[in-house]
Amino acid sequence: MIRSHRRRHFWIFAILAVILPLVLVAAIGVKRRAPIVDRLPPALNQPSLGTWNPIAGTETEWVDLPIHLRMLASDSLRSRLGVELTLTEAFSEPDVAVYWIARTGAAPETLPRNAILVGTIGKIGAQRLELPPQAVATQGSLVLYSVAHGRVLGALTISEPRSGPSDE
Amino acid sequence: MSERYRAVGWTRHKRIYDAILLAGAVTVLGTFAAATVALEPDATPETILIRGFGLVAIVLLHVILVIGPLSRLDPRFLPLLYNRRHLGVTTFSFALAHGLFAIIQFHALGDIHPLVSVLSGDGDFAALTRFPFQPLGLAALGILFLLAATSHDFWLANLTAPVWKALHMLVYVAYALVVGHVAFGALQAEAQPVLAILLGVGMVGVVGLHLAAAVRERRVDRDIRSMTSEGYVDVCAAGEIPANRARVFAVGGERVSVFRYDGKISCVSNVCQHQNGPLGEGRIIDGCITCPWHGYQYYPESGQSPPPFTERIPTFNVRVIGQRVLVDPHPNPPGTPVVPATFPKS
Repeated sequence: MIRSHRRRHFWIFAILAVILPLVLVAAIGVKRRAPIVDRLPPALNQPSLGTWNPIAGTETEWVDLPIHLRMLASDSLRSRLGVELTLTEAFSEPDVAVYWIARTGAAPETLPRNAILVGTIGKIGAQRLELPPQAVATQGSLVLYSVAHGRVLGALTISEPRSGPSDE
Repeated sequence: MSERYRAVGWTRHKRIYDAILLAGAVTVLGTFAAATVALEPDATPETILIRGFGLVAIVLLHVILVIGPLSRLDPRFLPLLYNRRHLGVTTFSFALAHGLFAIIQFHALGDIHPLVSVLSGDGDFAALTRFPFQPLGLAALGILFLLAATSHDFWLANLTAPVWKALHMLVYVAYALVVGHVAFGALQAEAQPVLAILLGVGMVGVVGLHLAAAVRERRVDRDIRSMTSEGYVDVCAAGEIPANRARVFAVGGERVSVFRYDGKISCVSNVCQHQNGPLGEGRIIDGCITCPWHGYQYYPESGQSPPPFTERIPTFNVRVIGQRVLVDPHPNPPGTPVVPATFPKS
């Protein structure tokens, strides 16, 4: 190299020796601390409920949505309840979450603050989700909520006929 | 050096060099892909390719950047320097593949132009916490393209070596941009510290070696020799110059090489006309000064390349008085024959 290039080379690396460590340290410093999830939250980590039995008389179709619903019971005492949601078509929304709310009637405009996450659905076919313990004693509704679009897709009152038999 | 134009003058050395280069790149890519599949089974093929191409490009960029100072510090690394431009073109190819795959994957399916999306799609230049990393990568890719496109001797000859060298020093800017691209990009998504450690080690290696070489070069440049009453510079004792080799001195603002051969002493510019390589670190082969970088040759008495080649370098008048070698600091025009000084036996 000619002398002018050697000088330029020296000063370039003298500057880089200061700037590059600063860049690396700054990048590490502003790094967002992503939580390491080694297990799913309980609402998303449900057992398959494969041994739970459908409750007779609870089968219903979701209005305006391609979903067939029936309720499940963990045992003959119905100490724990669940729902089986069967999708006959895929949703256009990518991330539909299922919530349980302790009220019935028309679908709420927005997701109530006391809504309890039950799980997520999206695949065509049947999925079983456990309802929160409150659902055993309180009548309520399931609410489908699109997280991506931030809107309620629909709600369905679920009622358990307390005297009805399970399909055991 | 070639007497007629050929796109690439392939030699056995170049073929071996390129074979090792490609084998190394494929090995890095394959190892990375296998490790990713094993450790992250959910990673999609396109994600593995994007990351893999980027990894190969940055590894090659580090190799390119350490070859220069390593060769300055230890001549045993000179064979790596011989074909460094192939390394540069390969680096650009992998960086381009990385960039294209990333643009297709993350920017091509929206409703705005992909390049607009790259430049405006993430972050905020005013906020360090969300500093946009993609424009940094795009800028580095642009520089690597410029360097790859002008890497051929055609551009070297037409731009002249000093301009070409100055242009190719942009690789240092590209490196800084790549460090920023990785630090504010991939590093932000890594839960483990492995990437940060590797990037830091690479950075320390590149910057440390360049600084070490630069400091050593500065020492030579600052070694000012005393001038005699006749306007000559006393550089050394004749016996201090190894046979068929040279010693390098800073004389008159630039470096000269003082060669000893066949009982004679000649002095020429230390700067090769091809890529400004250090002639004084070469040796006399077949009666010609031979550049250690790419083998360009010059007669020591005239600074002219042997026919049919036409390169010429400045010569310097030289005397030997007693055992001392004296050099006129004023260069003769390139290719000017100068009678060599004879080397008296002590």
